[in-house]
Amino acid sequence: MTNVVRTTLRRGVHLLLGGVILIPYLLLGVGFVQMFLEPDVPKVPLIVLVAVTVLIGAIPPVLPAMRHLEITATRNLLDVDLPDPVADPPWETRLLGAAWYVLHLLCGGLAILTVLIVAPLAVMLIAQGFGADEGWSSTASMPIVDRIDGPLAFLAAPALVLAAFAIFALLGAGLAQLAPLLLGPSPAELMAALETQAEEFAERNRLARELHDSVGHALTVTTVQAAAARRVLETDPEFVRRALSAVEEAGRSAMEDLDHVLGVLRTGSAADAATDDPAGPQRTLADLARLVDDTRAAGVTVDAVVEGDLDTIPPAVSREAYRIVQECLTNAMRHAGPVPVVLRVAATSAGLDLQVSNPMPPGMPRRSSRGGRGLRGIRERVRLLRGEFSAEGQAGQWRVHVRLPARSDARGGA
Amino acid sequence: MSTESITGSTTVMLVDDEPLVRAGLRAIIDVEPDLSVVAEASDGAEVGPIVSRDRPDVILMDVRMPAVDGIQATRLLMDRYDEPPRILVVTTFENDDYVYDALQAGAHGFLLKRTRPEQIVQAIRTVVQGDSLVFPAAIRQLAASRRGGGGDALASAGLSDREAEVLRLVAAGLSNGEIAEKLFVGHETVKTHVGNVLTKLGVRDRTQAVIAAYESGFISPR
Repeated sequence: MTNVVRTTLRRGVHLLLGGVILIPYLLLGVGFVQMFLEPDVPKVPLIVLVAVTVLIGAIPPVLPAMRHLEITATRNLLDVDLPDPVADPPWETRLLGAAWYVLHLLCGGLAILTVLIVAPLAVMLIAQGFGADEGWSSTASMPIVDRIDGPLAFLAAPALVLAAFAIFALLGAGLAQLAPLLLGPSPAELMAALETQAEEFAERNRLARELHDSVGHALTVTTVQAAAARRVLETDPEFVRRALSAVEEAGRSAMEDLDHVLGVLRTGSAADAATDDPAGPQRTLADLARLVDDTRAAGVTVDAVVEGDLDTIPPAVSREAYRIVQECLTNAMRHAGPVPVVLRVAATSAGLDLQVSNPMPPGMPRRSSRGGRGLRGIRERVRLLRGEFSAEGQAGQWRVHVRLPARSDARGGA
Repeated sequence: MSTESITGSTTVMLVDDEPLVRAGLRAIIDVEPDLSVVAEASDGAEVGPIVSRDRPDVILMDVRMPAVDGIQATRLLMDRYDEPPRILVVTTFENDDYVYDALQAGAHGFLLKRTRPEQIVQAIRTVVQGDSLVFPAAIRQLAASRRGGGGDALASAGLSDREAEVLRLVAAGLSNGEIAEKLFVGHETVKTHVGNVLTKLGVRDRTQAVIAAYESGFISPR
């Protein structure tokens, strides 16, 4: 019972707040009506004035800040669980928020009206109960109240207060019921959230499959080959030699795959939180010069051209771009050896354009499955960032071309 | 009951799309005097013709393969032959959904690729003898994660008390000989009971009988 009282009191405060905000609107309205009834006031300027006022009055309800405020008030005073408001809600959400604002004010008006009627009446009744009816009834002409006196008045006063309480409770409960509909996430927002969730789920599945296919496969080969080698150690040294090199190869390619999968996993979390693990700062295009130097130190001639301001590229895109360049340079080194590599990085307002090309060695691609996996990693990253990717050999040149849009929140979702 | 070929050694066929896995398994198996790998295939699609040519006693069948997977290949062999080769499904991961499907399709047992070589060859011998389960604990785990699909096929099968008891012991991984000892009956009697259980459940192998038992809740996998 005390809970109901406490809840209703808090909701009452919410209602009265709405009522208080309603008062200036009412005063303005009354003022305008009076001016319209006044024959001396010129009508055209008055209509313009009314229109401008209505326009100004209509703006606050659709402002996200107002919705934010209403959500906070509703959470604290109406005891309704509402999700945090989004920064830039769609129009549908804004209109619903405005509808809530209007509803809040109207219900508040009703509440204040109730107080304005009940409070003096109750005081009057109690006074009449004490027999002091003369002075009151002359000023406030209330025929019904006039006839109540004596013990009946003492009963009627609390009954009135109770009725007022009931009206507050009803209005409050009604608002609390409607709040999730009008202030909660709109169907479009819920949809977007669901889509994001589905995307993340698909992403997890994809990673699981990738781990299964790559690392699982490599470990299987390793296990079976090692087991076999142990069995034939004495009898077939040639098999053992081949088995050992197969184990080595499988381990190496598994490490590469793991590197890539973990890279995607890290990016996934990095895209959500703008700040990264301080323990391991991730490289971005700002570190490009060092990467190129390192590659040159490994014996590769790198002809690097950078156009535009790389600082304008969003961090998430910059990080991925760095990894892609790194992977391309490593691939070139692994498959083609120390050949001259041409690297072109162009930053524009639309995004980033990466080109890496190198002469293909004769007989390339030697190991299509391995090379394919490295490229698959790049393709995957580009896909996550909603970019474009191509890799092809033409006229003896192997060319990887990547285009990334500048929007950092390219993974979509709310 | 013996399915050994004239040479006296058990013939094995390997089906796996990864040549390195086939090479490893071949080395593990060929080093055993009583086992020999007589054929290899890299996809389920190649299995049919090779089996009709070489008639291996046992097939180690990978589940996931590019064109025809191990489940389809198993089903095909079960349909085509009255006495199909014994099939051991070979898989990378224990909780592989396909393994269960393969067992239902008629595979006689399953083997993880990480199984120790000693156990791999032992499993081949066991499945050839056909009188006990291959890795009963693994089958139990697999069944535990897949409970509840089978309905009450067992209730309507009308097993006698003795047959039900034999089925429980089969599921526990006991061989016919061990069951005979445990129940103080003859080896032939146990074979007859097992045969009756298979007939009444409408399955062709003790592995399928055990799966049916788990699925119907006749035996709880815990």
